[in-house]
Amino acid sequence: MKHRDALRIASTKFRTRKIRTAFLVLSLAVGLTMIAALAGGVAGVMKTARAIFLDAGQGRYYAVEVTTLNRSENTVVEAKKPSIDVGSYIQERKEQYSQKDISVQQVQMIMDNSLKQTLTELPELTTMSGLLSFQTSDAQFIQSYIIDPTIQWDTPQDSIVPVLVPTAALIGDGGPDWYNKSAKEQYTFLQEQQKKYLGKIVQYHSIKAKSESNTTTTEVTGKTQYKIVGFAPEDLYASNLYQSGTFIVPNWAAKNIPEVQGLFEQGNYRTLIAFANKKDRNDFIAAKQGQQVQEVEKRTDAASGETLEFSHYFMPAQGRFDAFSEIASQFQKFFFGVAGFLLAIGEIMLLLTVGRVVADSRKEIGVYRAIGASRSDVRKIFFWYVCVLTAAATFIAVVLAITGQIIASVKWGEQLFYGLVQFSGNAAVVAQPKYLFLGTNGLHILALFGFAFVSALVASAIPIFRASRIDPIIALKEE
Amino acid sequence: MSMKKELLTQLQTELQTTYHGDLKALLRHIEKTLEGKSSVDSSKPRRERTGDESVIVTVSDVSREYLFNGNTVQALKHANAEIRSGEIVALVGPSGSGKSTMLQLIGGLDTPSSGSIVVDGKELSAMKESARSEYRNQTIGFIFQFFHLQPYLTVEQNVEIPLLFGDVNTVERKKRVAEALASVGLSEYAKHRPSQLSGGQQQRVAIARALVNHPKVILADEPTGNLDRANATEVMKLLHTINEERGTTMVIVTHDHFVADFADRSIELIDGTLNTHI
Ligand SMILES: Nc1ncnc2c1ncn2[C@@H]1O[C@H](COP(=O)(O)OP(=O)(O)O)[C@@H](O)[C@H]1O
Ligand SMILES: [Mg+2]
Repeated sequence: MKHRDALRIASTKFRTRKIRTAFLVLSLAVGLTMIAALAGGVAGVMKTARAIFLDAGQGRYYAVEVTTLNRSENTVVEAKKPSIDVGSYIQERKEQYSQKDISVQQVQMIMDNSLKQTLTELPELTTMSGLLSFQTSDAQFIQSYIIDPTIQWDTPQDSIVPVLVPTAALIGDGGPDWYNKSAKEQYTFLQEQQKKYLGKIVQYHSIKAKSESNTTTTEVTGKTQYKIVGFAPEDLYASNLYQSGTFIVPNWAAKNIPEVQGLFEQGNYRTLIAFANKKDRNDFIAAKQGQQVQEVEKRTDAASGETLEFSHYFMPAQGRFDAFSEIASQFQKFFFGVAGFLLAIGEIMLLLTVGRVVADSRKEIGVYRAIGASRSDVRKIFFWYVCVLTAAATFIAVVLAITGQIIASVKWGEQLFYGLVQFSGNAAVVAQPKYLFLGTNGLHILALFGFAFVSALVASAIPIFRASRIDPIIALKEE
Repeated sequence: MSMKKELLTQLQTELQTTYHGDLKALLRHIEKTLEGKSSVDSSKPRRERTGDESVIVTVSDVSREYLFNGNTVQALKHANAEIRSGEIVALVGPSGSGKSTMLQLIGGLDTPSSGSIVVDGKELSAMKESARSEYRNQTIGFIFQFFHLQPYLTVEQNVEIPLLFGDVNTVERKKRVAEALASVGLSEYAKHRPSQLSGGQQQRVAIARALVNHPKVILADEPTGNLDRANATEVMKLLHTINEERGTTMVIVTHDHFVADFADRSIELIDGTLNTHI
């Protein structure tokens, strides 16, 4: 018997058992819907999350933040008081800001978040000009642009260093009630800022600062141009490591530009390394993770005199993405468990229903056998019976899953998207997807069909086998 | 058991099953039989047997035992029979005498405990399960007492089913279904459902289904057992016509003498043993 004909006979069975068939199809569809909705939903969210966390700079640059400890021996670091008067520095800057119509709160925020801390941590830098000059290639250079209006945006020239700018630096124009804004408002604003600064070329002087007792001399050693190619998570802005700035360069620059190289050799950095493509980034991560790059730093806590051990090798962007993936996968596992349980109930119902249909069709099968159906013909008929049921259930599941993803996206898409954006440090240059949870693709659908068919056929194997064993003699005996 | 008592039991069964308690009808039948008259429409002459027809079914020393509640039931005891190609044979006998068992064995639905059955040159017990299915599909056409049409299929779909098992292509299927329906006179009912037809018409659809693969042998178990006399006559006439036109061999189980009268000869089974009447 041809499969096409077996399918035809099988599908006639549904006509006589409409309610039971519908019930069965729905019960199978419930579990399948959950599986499809979850798999697709999580895939949709993860796709966007990956873009938010890992792809900086309009998708052209991919950032990894690395904190390295490069000490050759254990060093005791004691917190020192800054030798500049932070209070008067802030006061001074506040006045400058007020001329630029920047709110006091903002100045306070910037100071609080970075300068104060940086100043505390960088006791060697005794002058602000030193600090600023150091920051020419540092995270805070946008801030120094705000602070010091004399710094010019320049036209592009040769040997331009591409840099990623910490998103936090963009908050500068955000207005006094920045922290009262919703995540969405903040992100929308930052996106505008990103648009404004992306691709801009900025020129800084590299300055060497020398301080001798009360006098400070500065020496301009050269000019470097930086092109803003992307944005880094906002909290990279405030680095609290010794002698660190957030040094943002593509890795080729770290190797090839002497002054950048010099900075790398000095000691401990929290560095955002940008890669021009995903592969390089992933290779970098893989290589670093395999290496013994961690070194133990021992510090004596100034207050307690206790020796503390620090071991640093962080990739926060990657790390946070991994953390989120882990949460997502735990979530998925749990609900896959529930879905699997529901599907198992569906499969048991399928087993019972096919068993029942076989029992109800004993006479019919007997007659078919008597008029020439082989055992394999009977199996074919029931095989297709189960297949049509499963196909219907899976089709419904796919439709429901996609509908569910759309509804979830409308309901929770914005909340989750901006939550993720905030968690990632606002660095993303990613537009909110219309349907965040809509991640079901052709491959998912194919896999779902495959899975549904295999499980349905396993569940119905025994009743189908029984059907093929029905004795054709009953055609002569039963009414 | 004495002969008298046995005869009485037989008459009693006959009265209940064939004549539905109509004692007068039974008496009329006995009267006619005693007079040596056939109850067959006398306008229809019996076919002349040329005698050179080949043997198509050979039953040799066949026994069939069933195990039932730990006891062995002998449904057939060393039965022997030969049926020639083109014959209509009535298989008669009281209920429980092994008629259906015999039909099942010839039809390849069951295998004998001992002995051999050869149909159309093929030894049935040597066949594998799949070959037996093909044999039932190609060589045999079955007609059942309860028609056994699928209620959710149309008349033409019902007739088509054996062709599906035989892997016949669509064009050929259409042709054969139309031809089979025409030969039972139900062409215009092709799109009807069995429930829209009378019992006699339903059995004619079943006959079309049995015919559609051009079988060599048609096996019918009480084909009129569920029909009134008028419909039964119609069905028997139809089978007779088919036999005449196509030369299809027919073995018809019945305990209705009226049906047996359509046959070329009767084989009587009593307690699993055969008595052949010409
Ligand atoms: N599957 C079976 N199991 C046990 N006994 C059976 C079975 N089939 C038939 N028999 C017995 O075999 C005998 C012949 O049955 P059957 O061929 O159906 O008779 P008939 O068709 O002449 O009425 C009966 O005694 C019946 O009870
Ligand atoms: Mg019987």
